[in-house]
Amino acid sequence: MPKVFNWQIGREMEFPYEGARPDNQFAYIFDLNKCIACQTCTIACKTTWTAGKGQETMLWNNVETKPYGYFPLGWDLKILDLLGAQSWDGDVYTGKTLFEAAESDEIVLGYLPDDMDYANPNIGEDDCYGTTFKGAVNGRSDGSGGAYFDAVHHSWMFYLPRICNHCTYPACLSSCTRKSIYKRKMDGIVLIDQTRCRGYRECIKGCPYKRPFYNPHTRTSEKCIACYPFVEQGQQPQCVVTCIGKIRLSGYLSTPEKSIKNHPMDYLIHEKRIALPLYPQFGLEPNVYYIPPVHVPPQFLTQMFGPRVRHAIETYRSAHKDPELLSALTLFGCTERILKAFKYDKSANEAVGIDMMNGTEVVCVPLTEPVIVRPLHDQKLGAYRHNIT
Amino acid sequence: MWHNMYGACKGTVDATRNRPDGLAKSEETGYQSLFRSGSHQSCTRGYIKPTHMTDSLVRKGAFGQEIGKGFAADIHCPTGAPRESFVRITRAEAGGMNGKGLWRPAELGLRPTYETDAMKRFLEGKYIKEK
Amino acid sequence: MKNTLFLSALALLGLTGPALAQTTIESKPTRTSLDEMLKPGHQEWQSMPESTIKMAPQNIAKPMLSKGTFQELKVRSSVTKNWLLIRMEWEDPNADAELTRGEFSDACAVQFCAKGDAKDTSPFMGNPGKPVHILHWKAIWQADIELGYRDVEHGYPNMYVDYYPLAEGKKTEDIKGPALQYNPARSLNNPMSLTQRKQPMEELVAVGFGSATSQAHLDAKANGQHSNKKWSVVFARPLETPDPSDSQLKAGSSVPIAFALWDGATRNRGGRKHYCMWQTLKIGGTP
Repeated sequence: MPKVFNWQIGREMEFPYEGARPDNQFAYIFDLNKCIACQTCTIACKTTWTAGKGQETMLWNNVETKPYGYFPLGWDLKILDLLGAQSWDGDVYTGKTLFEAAESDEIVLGYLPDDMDYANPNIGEDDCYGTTFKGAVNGRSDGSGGAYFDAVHHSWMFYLPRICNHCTYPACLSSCTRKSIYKRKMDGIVLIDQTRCRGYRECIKGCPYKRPFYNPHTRTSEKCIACYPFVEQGQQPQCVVTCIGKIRLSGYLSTPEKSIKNHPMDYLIHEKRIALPLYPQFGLEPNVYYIPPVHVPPQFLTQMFGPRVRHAIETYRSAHKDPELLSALTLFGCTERILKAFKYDKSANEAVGIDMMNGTEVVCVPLTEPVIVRPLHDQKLGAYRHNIT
Repeated sequence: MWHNMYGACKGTVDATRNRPDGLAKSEETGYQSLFRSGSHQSCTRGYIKPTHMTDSLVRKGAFGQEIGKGFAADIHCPTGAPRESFVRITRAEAGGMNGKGLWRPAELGLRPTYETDAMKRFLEGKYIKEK
Repeated sequence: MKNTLFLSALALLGLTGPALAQTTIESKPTRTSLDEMLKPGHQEWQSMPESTIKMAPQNIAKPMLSKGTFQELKVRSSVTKNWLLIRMEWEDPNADAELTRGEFSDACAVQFCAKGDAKDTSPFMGNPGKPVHILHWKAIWQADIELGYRDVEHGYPNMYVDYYPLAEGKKTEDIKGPALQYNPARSLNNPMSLTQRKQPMEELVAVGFGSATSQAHLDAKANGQHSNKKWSVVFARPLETPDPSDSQLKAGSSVPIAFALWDGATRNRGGRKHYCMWQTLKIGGTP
């Protein structure tokens, strides 16, 4: 089997096809410190793409609560358990990828979810870790359990928005025996050819993130298309543009050795290394990156985002001292346009974004919110100012 | 459960009692509720508003500082969303199919207090070791 | 490439697949009408000699089946003046004809050499330059025709949707025109998405694993039924067709023929199937 280099795991790995990186790779960054699970992204995607017959239970974008939420049910627990406990040695993954761990009959290690696994899309929403332990954990041996405060908050939860990762080494593409799934050379977007697909659902079985879905009306499989009609016009996808919390940024990502410092994606992912891939140990080199939530125990986060979690959190916490980093972060959700460059305008204390397609300055955002203090009583109008209606 | 619009209404509650399959689907309109009774706000009350807007009800107006009496429109017109409730929770039936056994996600060990060993390992981040 | 290498390997090692000796299937002429012969239960089929073909789980290209559920296939064949008929029968306790609810459909197929012969054409879906011509029946299509298109609501009778954008209703036939924006597979005429099939089958051409392509023009017919824990399916195809990608057959000749079976209950689909090596079909009648 051919060998390809996966920079997220710091080594070569087996892959069913000769490695061929796209000319450009479209990628995303989600800041998990800001997601409020309002599900606006989910609804935006649904009304745009999956409101048709046969697509009723599809959520190409979904937002689940970790740790007790998953769509489909237990998707990450199941694949982690199939793969077994694995190890990192510094930045190099010494465990097995899903390709390396495949059984003898299979191309990639995977499983087909039960139909009922799609029946509870928002299970575990807002359920925290650490509030419902039974038994002697909280000093009560009678099993009456329940959390109590002992000056350290043991409980945590965070929201994890997920879309297709448009992986560099997709398991869905590898699993399709008909080559009905292809990765576009121009932007690295992974698509299921709706003329070729015969609904075998090998892609669903293969993808560890369970992003392809079966459409029983058309009897083919479908998945997130990265809103490619928008991307082709230099616009960010629906889920990015509609995000109320401005937690998302999308754009083109270079490989690490070709990183362009003033490119917002390259800067955050390669220079500052503040955004990390989801379950890099699977070996697919996913292209959706996450800024880890600062309040969650690092052991859980490392399982999910790899070994650089502590560094990412430290960097994030120091952003207030780093205007260039703050500029990059401030540009999230501020423009529909895909940016190719950003800069910190020191004199104006603003972040400036430059449009990828025409090179113009398309947005500038102040780093600090302008504050104006007005007196309680306005003498000219003879009226009091209130901050309630 | 957030803003789940498919709450129960009289038609659907009647349907759970009258339809042979017990489905909460109004026989008159075909509207189907996700709940056999109540809605996502069922910790308040059924579908009868808890506050009677009598002419003597003392209340603050929605705009300004005035305290007045009687009807006043507010966000949820005619009565605002209830702010506090006492809730008594009793077990209706087993959560599994046909009222037997555990609800499937609990059966599979994916819910708090029902965790399998694998789930516990997952919660503790034990599927990854760092050297 | 893979297929020719494998064939040479087979020849070198003196190994063959599941059947050490090829079976010759005799196709006797009949005067019974085509429509009658398309009924697998018609008594005329009892006068056609029955051949037993050993079937094996596909174990050449991943994803493979290491363990199959079907071991044998019974084949009978007949020929009218213009049509060749193939009757396949195999034991399957469950009739799986559902594609909602995460299920898979039972299916079967017959394969002919479109250009070459058994020596240069791989029995495993053909090879580049040596295409195969396949007749493919699926239980779900049989059910679609007999009982109505098995759509979402068939799998989930208690489901509820408010509406589908741009559609005038919620039924299969209401999804047309602008509503098809949400179903590109249908607007692109993907053969899997045909909601109004006339035959429970398709004809395909293939030149190796993963290349099978539905033909736009269907010349053949099929009919299947399930009883006594068995499937029996009859294929009928014109001996000669106007389609240049079809195999052309002549009365009185012998041609290679192969078969495949899929067990929906064990999630067979695509390459996860049961197959056999080339057998010989001796077509009766006078040329």
